[in-house]
Amino acid sequence: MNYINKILIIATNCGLFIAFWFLLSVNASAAEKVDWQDDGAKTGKRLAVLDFSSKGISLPMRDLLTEQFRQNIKKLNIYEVLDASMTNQVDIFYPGERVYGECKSKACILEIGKLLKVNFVVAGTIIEKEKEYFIKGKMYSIDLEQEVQGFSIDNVSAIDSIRLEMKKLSYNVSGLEVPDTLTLEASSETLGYLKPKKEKQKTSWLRLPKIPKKVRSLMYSTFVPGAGQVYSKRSYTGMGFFGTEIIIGGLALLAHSNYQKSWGGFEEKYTNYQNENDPGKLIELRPDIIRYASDTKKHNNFLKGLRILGGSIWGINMLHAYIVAPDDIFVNAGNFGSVVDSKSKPRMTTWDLLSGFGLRGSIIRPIFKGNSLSAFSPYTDGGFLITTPIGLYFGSVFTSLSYEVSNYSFTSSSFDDEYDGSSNTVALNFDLTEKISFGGKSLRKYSFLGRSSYDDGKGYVLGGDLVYDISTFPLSFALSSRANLVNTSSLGSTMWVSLGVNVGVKIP
Amino acid sequence: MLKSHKNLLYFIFVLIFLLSCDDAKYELDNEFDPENLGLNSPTIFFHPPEFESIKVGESDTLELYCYKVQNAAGAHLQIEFDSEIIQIDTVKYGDFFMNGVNTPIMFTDQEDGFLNVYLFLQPTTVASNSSGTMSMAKILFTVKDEGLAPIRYTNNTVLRSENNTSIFLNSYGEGLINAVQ
Repeated sequence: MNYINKILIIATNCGLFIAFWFLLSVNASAAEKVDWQDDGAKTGKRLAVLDFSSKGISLPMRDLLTEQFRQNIKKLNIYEVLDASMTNQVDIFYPGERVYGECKSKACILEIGKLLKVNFVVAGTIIEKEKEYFIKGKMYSIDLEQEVQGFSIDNVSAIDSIRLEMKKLSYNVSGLEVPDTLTLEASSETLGYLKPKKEKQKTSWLRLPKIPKKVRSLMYSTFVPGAGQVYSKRSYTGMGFFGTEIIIGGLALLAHSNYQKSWGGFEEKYTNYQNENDPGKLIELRPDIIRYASDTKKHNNFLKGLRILGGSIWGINMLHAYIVAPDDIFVNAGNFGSVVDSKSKPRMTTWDLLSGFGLRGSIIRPIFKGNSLSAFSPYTDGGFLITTPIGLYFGSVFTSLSYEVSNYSFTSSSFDDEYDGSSNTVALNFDLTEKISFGGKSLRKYSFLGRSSYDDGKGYVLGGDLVYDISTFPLSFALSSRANLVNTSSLGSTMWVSLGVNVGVKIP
Repeated sequence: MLKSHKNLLYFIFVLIFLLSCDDAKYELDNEFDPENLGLNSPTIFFHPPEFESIKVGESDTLELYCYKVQNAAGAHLQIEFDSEIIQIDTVKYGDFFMNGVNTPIMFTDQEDGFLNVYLFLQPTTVASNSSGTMSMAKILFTVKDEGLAPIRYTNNTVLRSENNTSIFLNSYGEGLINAVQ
């Protein structure tokens, strides 16, 4: 059983390590990250090209033309042009638009520009009418909050001509002269794109109320972890959540299978014990019952730990799905609090009240123990830590209040004695990140000092946490250590040192 | 709409956080378990320790048990009983001194309320002594008259190792037979 337990622990650690590494790499991926702190903002030359609206041409054709226009401006190196993936991450529903979800009005475009934190926004329309194409567009200054340039191309008869004209247009938008050498480029694109797909007019028998995208994303991730992220174009993160839950689920199945075996053995032996009247056999059944009971407890504790971890990640996944989903302006999202009505007065929300609080679920295992526990073997247990924003600065060290609940269990090698329970610790968390430069600010360093109440005594807990904060969302992974110094009624003074991993979320 | 989603969320959280397997709960309280008889091992005791009511004329079996005895090769069990109430009919050997296929050598005698049971393990090339908690012998008795009949091991009772050294035993268990009409 110990061997199986070790495998489970190694597998758990591997799973967490993989999830940890995965999220690190995801974090490092530029495609996934919207770096709003980019230095480009200082130049005042950040420009976003919104997807052109279209009429009469297919959506792929429209996307192709928009993207080529975007790339043409980018190549001219006058503006720092936002990629399509970044631009499309912001999607708003502005009031007054004729079509729900479209953004054609000046106010809506300026709003998008602000959300994208760019200095200029280009928006336009491509229309096909009787095999002739018309392009109209405007360039807005977000800083000045006004239109700074308008452009139009009329009566172009071939798609390649549009592409050429749009290339010229990119020079105009960039404030450059169109070179004489600009000629029609050969195109291998299929003109079949020109034919718009006739969208089937589906008869709507049932009209459901429109659900805000944030709520929809939350719902998807509630049902399937990661689905909301995929919906919000955060596929890698979504897959990460899904994969992590799959790994945890697999481990849980394995642990449950072991639990079932132990439970079966326990039931059989215990029934025999209750019905037996031969003292010799009863003496033989005793250790088996204790061992099986201990095994079931061990596997159940591991399952509980996995459940806490899985539940925490599931919750974080839901929260993350809600946070990364695009905003819908003027949509009342109930209690969720972060959706902003620009015309309403600022008000305190539940979110504001909870801001700064955090929750971490952990799996922890003693690795060193004192003399009074030397005859006992430790098990892996679970726990959780609530961090609060309540604290004081001592120089650059922020000291905050936290509360930790952690289980512990030890069993003697003959399985006939056990020492287990849970500890409740009120502690001070010292944020030493500013003092210890190792790992940078993404790797936060905490020391932990608290007073603990155990099932059969009181004591102190000392420890430290290395917390890696995922910058794009309030998720963190941590390695933690705890030294428990306890004065117990059953064992006297004792101590043990535990190492653990935890995953947490902090309300931004 | 939103409320129903909230309820769904709560339901999922309940599933995640509350559903769990049971921890094994047990009480090792079988009345025949030597651990529950208040004995200090190694020792010997009667099983069962008490016959609550046996009618006159009826027969039953009393087992002579050893409890966590180590390396015993022979035994002299002297049992004191009330011969006016109890009549010993037969004594059979138990499993303790069985050595594979070899049955123990056993002979008995009784006189004036004392029963002597002599047991010897027959050694083989692989085993010359026996250890554990097992029945050494079984006494078949008949109740002759009503009354309380205590039954106990005397101080002449001794277990010996293969080297003929006596094995230390803690205080012996006692038995009681309640004979009724």
